This record gives sequence, structure tokens and C-alpha cells, in this order.
Amino acid sequence: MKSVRAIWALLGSAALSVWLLLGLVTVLCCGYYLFEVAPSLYEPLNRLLLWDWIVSYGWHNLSNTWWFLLFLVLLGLLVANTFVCTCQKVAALARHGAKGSRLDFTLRFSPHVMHAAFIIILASHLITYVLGLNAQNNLVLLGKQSAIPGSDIMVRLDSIKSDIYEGERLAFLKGRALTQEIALSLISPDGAVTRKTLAYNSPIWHDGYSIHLKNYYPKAKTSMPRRPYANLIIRRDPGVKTFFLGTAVFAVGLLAYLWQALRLHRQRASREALA
Amino acid sequence: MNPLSPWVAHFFQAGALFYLLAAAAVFLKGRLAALILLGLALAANLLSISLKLYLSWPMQSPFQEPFWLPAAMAVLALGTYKRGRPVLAKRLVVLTAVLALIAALFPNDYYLPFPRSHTIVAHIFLPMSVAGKACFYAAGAAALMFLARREETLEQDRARPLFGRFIVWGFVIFTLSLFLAEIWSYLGWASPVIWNNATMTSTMAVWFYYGCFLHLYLLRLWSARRRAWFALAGVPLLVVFTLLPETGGFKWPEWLS
Repeated sequence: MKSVRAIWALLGSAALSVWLLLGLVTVLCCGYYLFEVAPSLYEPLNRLLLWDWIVSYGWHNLSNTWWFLLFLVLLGLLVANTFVCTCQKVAALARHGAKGSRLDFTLRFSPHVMHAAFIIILASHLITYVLGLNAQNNLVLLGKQSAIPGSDIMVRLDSIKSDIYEGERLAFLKGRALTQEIALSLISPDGAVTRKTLAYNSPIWHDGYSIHLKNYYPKAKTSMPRRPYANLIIRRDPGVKTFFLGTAVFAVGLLAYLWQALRLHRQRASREALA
Repeated sequence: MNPLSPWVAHFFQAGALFYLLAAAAVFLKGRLAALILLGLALAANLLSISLKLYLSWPMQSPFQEPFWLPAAMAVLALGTYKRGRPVLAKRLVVLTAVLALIAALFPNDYYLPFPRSHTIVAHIFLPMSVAGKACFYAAGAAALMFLARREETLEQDRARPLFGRFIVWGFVIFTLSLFLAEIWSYLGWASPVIWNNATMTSTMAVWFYYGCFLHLYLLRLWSARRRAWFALAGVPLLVVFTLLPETGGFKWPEWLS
């Protein structure tokens, strides 16, 4: 029991947070140069699950990828440290209760809101990298249909409309597409058809999948005669909603912390002016 | 090429020259001259940025941060001067001149605006990222003054030195900019995190570094002097991992070569 308490105390220590953060900075700085040496080793992280990447690339190229594995270990320790530290601090805050105004008391929780959000963000990432589906190149020809990986849903490319730029200001873009509308039909196994349009930066969501536009053809007024197509990124990302929820919570905690810091600063300045 | 394009570089180079002259005026103790030159430099810098935006809108060109950074630093210098901190304002003018010269003499290759930058998120991300980093640079300058015992000791600085407050602001703005980048990355590339280049690692390194500073600052784990050293050490980190990757080889301005 004593040793459990000692570990709990060590894990919650603020000094440990500092050393872990400095460790992460060092590892990431090394990672920057190692990444530059062999970017092709890391590019598969965009399409493989984490374990598959470790087995296929990470483990066999340890002279380059050691930093990434160490980064994961340090990140895991930081999450444990953040969790324990937050539990200890929140319990202490709750025990001591509100001493100043209710607002002051509430705002005092803001760093812990950020800590909780940080854990949510990293956990969501882990879920995405462990359980997600990431199909990078799904070519669909105009009028044809293709299956969404891992499901019975079919996707059909109905049309490609491009808004061709004809002005003079963007000389490099003249005669080329500025925006696009890729019309897709999503056909369920029962034959139900859902029509949606897709564009760069404007993915569509359907039945737990997100579909993003990777590339398409034609993109210019005068293009080589080829069959029009859309290349789609199809993802099932179970962590992404909680990821963005965590991000939003972190932003709220951050702004609340800033508000508290500004209030305290103003209070201190007015006290000093009175003295 | 649009005939206005060369003026983007000309305006920026004129701005860099004015920043340099403003820094010289600071050394020669010509306060009014420094202010006027800084105003001219900022105007030329903003003109260059606006023209570049006009020639890219609704998209955005990559590697624009080195040209935005001096403008953000100049705004901070003017702000600190207005708030009664002329010594810090002078240091910021000198730092701005150095950053502007780096951007003017080591420009990156010319890249066309790219289709995935056609989103409002990208346009908000860039100035926020630059503003966050400008606060970190300003914190470095304020920390240097603190270490040299030349801090303008306004009453509130005694309890919480200025460099700490710059970092708090910088961290908030920089973090929000990263969240915007994640949204943009998810919409455009289907993942909030993309392992396409080393920028991912350097950005995380900078975020963890200043996150670490915030822990030291809030929990008073180190003395103010050690924290000042820490804030100062952030400047080379910023230069090596965020500024240099966005610059290119040495190149004289076209009108000089």
C-alpha cells in the first residue's frame, strides 16, 4: 500500500511533468532531423494503423524511428502524470471549497479542464490509430460505382462540376478549376440512395464513414481526353468526434484560464495603485 | 504571371530596409525617427502582405510566415511603446529588423497558392500562428532584459515578470491556431494529424516547450531568473524549428543583383 501511494505521489508530481515535457521537446527535436532524413518511413502513418506501422516500418528501422517510439512512451507517461496530477489537484480544490467569489473558484478549475481535454485528445488519437479505417485511394469513374471498404454501401460518381477561373488576377489559375462539386450517390444494401456533393475541404459523412476528396479529373477547361474520375479518401474514424470535442473543451479551458489570469492581473494592479 | 507580383517582394524589401533604419535610429537614440521609420516599415510590410493575399485570394501561398512575422513584431513594439515600455519597444524593433532581414535575404522558393488552402480556416490560422510566435519572440526579448536587470519595473512586473505574460498570450493564441490547423487538416486531408513533413514534429516541440514554461510559471517551480533563461532559450528553438524551415538560400533582391 505504501509503495502504491509512493508511485501515486511520484506520478502526480509537477516536477515529473516538467521533465517529461522537456524530454518530449528533446525527442521531437531529434525527430525533426530524423524525419527529414527519411520522410518515406513516416508517410505510411497517414494510411496504416499504428500497430501495423510499428510492425512494418518502426521496428525494422529503429536507427531512424527510435525517437517516434520513445515519443509514444513519453506521451503515455505524460498522460498518466496529467491524470494523477489532475485528480489530486481537483480533489484538493474541492476539499478546500470556494474562498473567493464563485467565479474565481470556477475559473480555478480551468487548467484541470485543459488537462482533462488533453487526455481526451490523446485517447481519441489512439482510438483512431488502433481501430479506425483509412482507405486512401478509392478511384471511382464517372457513372460507375465502387464499394466502401469494409461495408456493403456502394458509392457512385454522378457528376463533376468545376468552377473554372477566367479572370486575370490569378494568372496561374486561368482556365483551371477554382472550386468543384463532385456529386456522389451512396447506395445502401437495401437500395436506398442518398445524394451528396463533395469538394476539397468539404467532406461528406455517411453511416459512420467520412469521404474526402483526394483528387479528381478534369480540373481544367482544356484537359487531355481521359475518363473523368474522383479519387476518394474513405475513413471510419471512431475517435474523431471525441478528438474535436476534446479540442473544443481544451479551447474553453484555455480561454477561461486567460480570463482568470487577466482578472488576477487587473486586481493586483488596482491593489498596487491603491497602496 | 500577374504584373503586380514583383511588387510583393519590392514592398517587403522596402519594409525590411525601413525596419533596419528604425533599428539604427534606436541605436542613435532618435526616438521620433525610429517611430516614423517603424511606421513606414509596417506600412510597406502590410502592403506586401495585402498584395500577396490579393494575388492569391481565395487561396493562400505556403511559406508566408516569415513575411507576416515582422509585421506582428512591429505591432507588438508599437503596443509596448504605447504602454510605457520604451526600452522593451527598442529591443523589439531590433529583433523585428533581424527577422525582416532574414525573410528578405533568405526567401523560400516561389510556390503557387494551393487549392486546399481555399478555406476561411486557413486564412485565420496563418495570422494566429504568427501572432502566437511573435509573442514568444517578444517574451525572449523581455527575458533578456530581465536577465540584464534592465526590465522596466512597472509595479505589476515585480510580481509577474513581463516575459511570462507574453508567453501566456503566445501559448493561448498558438494553441488556438493549432486547433484551427487540425480542423483544416481534417477537412482537407482526412486526418487532424498528417505525417507528410517534419513540421509536425517541430510544431509539437514548440508547443510542449512553451507548455513546459507555463507549468514552471504557474507552479513557481523555478526561480524567475531560471524561467527567464528558459524563455530566452525558446528563441533559438523558434528560429531553428519554425523560421528556418520556411526560408531558403541567400538571395540578393533582384534590383540589387
